Amino acid sequence: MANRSPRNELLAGTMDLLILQTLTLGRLHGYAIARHIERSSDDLLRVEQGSLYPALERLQRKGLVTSTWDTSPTGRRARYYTITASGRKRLGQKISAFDGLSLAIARVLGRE
Amino acid sequence: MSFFDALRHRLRPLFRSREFDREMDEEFQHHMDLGVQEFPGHARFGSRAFYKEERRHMTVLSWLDPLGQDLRYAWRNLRRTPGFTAVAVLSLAIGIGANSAIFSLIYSILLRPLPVSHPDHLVLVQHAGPELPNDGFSFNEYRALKHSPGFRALTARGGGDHVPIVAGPVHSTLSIDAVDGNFFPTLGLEAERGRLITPEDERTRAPVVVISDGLWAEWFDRAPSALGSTITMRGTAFTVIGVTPRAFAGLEDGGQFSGAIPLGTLALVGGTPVEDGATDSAVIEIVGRLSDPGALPGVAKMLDATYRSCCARGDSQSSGVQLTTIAHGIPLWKFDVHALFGRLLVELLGAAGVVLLAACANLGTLLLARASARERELAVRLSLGASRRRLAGQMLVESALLAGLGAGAGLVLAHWSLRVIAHRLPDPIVDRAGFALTGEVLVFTAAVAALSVILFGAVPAWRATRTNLIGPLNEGGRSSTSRRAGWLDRSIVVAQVALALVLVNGAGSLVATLRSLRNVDGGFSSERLLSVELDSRGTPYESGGLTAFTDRLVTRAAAIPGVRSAALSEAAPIFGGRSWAPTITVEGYTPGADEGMRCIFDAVSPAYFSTMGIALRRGRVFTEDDRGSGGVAIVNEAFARQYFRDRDALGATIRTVRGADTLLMQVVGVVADARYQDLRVPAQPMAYLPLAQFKRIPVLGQLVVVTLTVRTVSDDRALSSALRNAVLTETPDAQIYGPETIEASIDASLNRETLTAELATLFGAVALVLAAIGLYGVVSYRVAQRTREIGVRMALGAATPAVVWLVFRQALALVTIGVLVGAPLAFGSGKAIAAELYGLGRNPFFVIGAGVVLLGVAVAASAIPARRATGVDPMIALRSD
Repeated sequence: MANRSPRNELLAGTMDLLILQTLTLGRLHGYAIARHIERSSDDLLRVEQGSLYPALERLQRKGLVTSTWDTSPTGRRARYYTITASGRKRLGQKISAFDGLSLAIARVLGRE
Repeated sequence: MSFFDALRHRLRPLFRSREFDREMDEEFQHHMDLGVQEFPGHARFGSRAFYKEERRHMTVLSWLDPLGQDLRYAWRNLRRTPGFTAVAVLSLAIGIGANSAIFSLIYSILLRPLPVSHPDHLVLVQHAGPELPNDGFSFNEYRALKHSPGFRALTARGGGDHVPIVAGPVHSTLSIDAVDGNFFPTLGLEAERGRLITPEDERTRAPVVVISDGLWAEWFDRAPSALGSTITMRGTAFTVIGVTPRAFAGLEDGGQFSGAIPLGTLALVGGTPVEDGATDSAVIEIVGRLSDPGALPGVAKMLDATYRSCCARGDSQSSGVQLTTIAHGIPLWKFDVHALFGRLLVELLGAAGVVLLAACANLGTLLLARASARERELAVRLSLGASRRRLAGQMLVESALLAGLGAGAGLVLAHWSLRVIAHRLPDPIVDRAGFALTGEVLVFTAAVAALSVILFGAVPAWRATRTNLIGPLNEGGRSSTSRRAGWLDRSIVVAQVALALVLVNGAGSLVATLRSLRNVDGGFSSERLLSVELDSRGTPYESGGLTAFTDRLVTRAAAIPGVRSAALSEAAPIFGGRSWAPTITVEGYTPGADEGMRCIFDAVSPAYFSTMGIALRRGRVFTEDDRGSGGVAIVNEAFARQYFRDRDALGATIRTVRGADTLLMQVVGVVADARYQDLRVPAQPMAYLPLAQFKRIPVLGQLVVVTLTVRTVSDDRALSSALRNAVLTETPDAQIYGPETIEASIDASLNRETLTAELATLFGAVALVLAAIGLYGVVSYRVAQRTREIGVRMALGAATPAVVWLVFRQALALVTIGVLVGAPLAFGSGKAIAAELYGLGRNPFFVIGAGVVLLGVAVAASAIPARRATGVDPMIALRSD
């Protein structure tokens, strides 16, 4: 418990949103999730294992994501993650919350 | 769905941690490998260990983790002091185990309901009246009542006693139930094997039999082929169709169930025929299942009205009916388990509770001493920032761990002691109860363990939260808390002494009761008497009785070398047999309004009184000439006192009537009172008849059962088999019980008292040992604390006796206070168990005796600390400052 810093909390919230959004594409393993987030952000965002897998764990604990072991196209065993129905619902809430937040920040910064 | 997924996900690492770790590694590796493939040369490495730890933290329920830490810490602590742990666990095991064992007895003997569906809906229909149970009903009455409102169903049961049975190689006699077709469906009982009796069986009067699980095991070795085989009962072949569940031991509380046949076939096995419209013999028991148990009073009223209109005959026995709930079974007339054991077991549970209290008190003092020893450690941890709540929680966890270990060991003890106890209880109880450590017992044990944690764990935990930070951290400084808590451990020891006094007093009283019961003058001399009972029921002798064999039995038994004399009787004191208790009229005696005038008769051979050692007071004993039809009788002194007072019994006439026959007996002698039923109960008025008059006097009927008793010159065991052989030679086909010495019968009749006395002694001894440990702990702790003071005293010239007295004084003071506190409690508990006591009166001896024993314990417990005190070297004691 001791190593929960506020920085982690903030990251965790954003990371959850990104992971859930990514999983709407389909069943993916951890590496594919990380790569998708990095690629679609034009490599502006970097996803470390140390934050990706705990986030996935947290999402599973909340029942937003489930996982199964399966064989990857290269023939190796990999854990595949799937978004659940409540995960989709939560994603909707998170996106609108994020929209509200970024709008508010944009207004404060006078960009609108 | 996703909620359960989430929960399973959370709990998984708890149960499959190795697999969980392996999967995490594999996933991590997979990620890294893919990274290396895509970006050869600059793969990113994270801290695998950090990430794994992070992830595990999130997975495990967060509060489980500190609990696990506390448990591990407590376990290490306990392992570091194996002596303390052993004493603690052992004393808890004894305390908890005693409670579990007694509760298991209480549950299986008193609380366990009949193993049928909704036993609380079952009622027994009885004739109105205070006696319970009383006579049965006729089939006509059953038919008239069968469709009364308010019942899901009413069903009937009859029975045949002493039915001769042949099952393959087995020849035996049994009591068999005869049940209506809806009996088992009404109980809601399902067959363990095959099927049970159905209405169709009853309608066709099919010769089928359902056997108990016990018989199935005994006769058929649980072979499936038993189903469909036939057993012959009094010449009729019955097909075995099913086996009842093992738990089902019949409807009686403490009864034995061997098997059941359709009600309509009862006549085939020699029972009174239960035929539609046939004789009106009252042999049926009616059992009903209520639709709604709450409606019992109304249903009873309606049934009573129905009975009054259809069947009431006007005499007192059949004026109406009442309903009794039988969720725990029908109490047996002669062997009411609740009456025999109910009170006793509750009292024993009380004693076991006191033992547990003493054990907890003991543990409390031990833990207090331990806490004082750990004061420094606690203070250090507190000053380093540990919360007081956490420390208290940790103490509680340690106590809980001890209680858990104690409960586990206690269950082992309970299991083992139940086996020992089961040997000591009467067979019907053991058969019915089984004495397994059932779920209910486990729940009880857990509750007791939890309670004991509260009892002994609360104080040290509370103390831990009040640890003083300054004192203990100062080198050599003496803590103030331990001085303040001194009153606490001393008062716990006082309580322990008081509890031990209560238990020792109780044990002493029970042991003395047993002794006085053994020394009761039963009115006969019990040494070197051997009795054997012959029963003609269900044997070829049934029709002719045993009269033809009596003379030769006595002659043959008397001829055995080592036999001084031999006699026959229907019943023998304490040993048993069969007695007859008709209503009599006594010449010149006018009975009171409510006087029953029932008198127990025993028919005896001439040598009976001399063989049994029953003294002749007046007149004469029977002779060989008392064979004719002229009635003679010998009465006991209780009879003479009751019916003749200051008149002369000799020559008076007693009269009794059976059916159309009248028997007139002239009193020819008066003998001393002999206690037949129970050594506790003074002899009832009783009369003896000459055995030789059987067959000559119609009122007596057949000689169905006879007891052969011999007085031997030595305790040679071979005499027993010689006697058995003699009986087998004369009456090879009779059913034989014994031979058994009368002393063994007396022992058996006292086994309840023996068991109680032994358990109470055990409890008392345990309480004494616990009190001794507690005293020792407190006294030696005090001596250690006062080492410096003692050193000063010795340096100033105190003599050794003075120092010794210093130590002893404290222990003696504690014990004296404990005895003063405990004495009223002990007297009170003596009153509570007065029903178990016999021949003691109000006796302060045991309280005083227990007090003296405890003073002895105090001296013993102080001996080692006193020696240590005298060994104090003033130089060293003073230098340590």
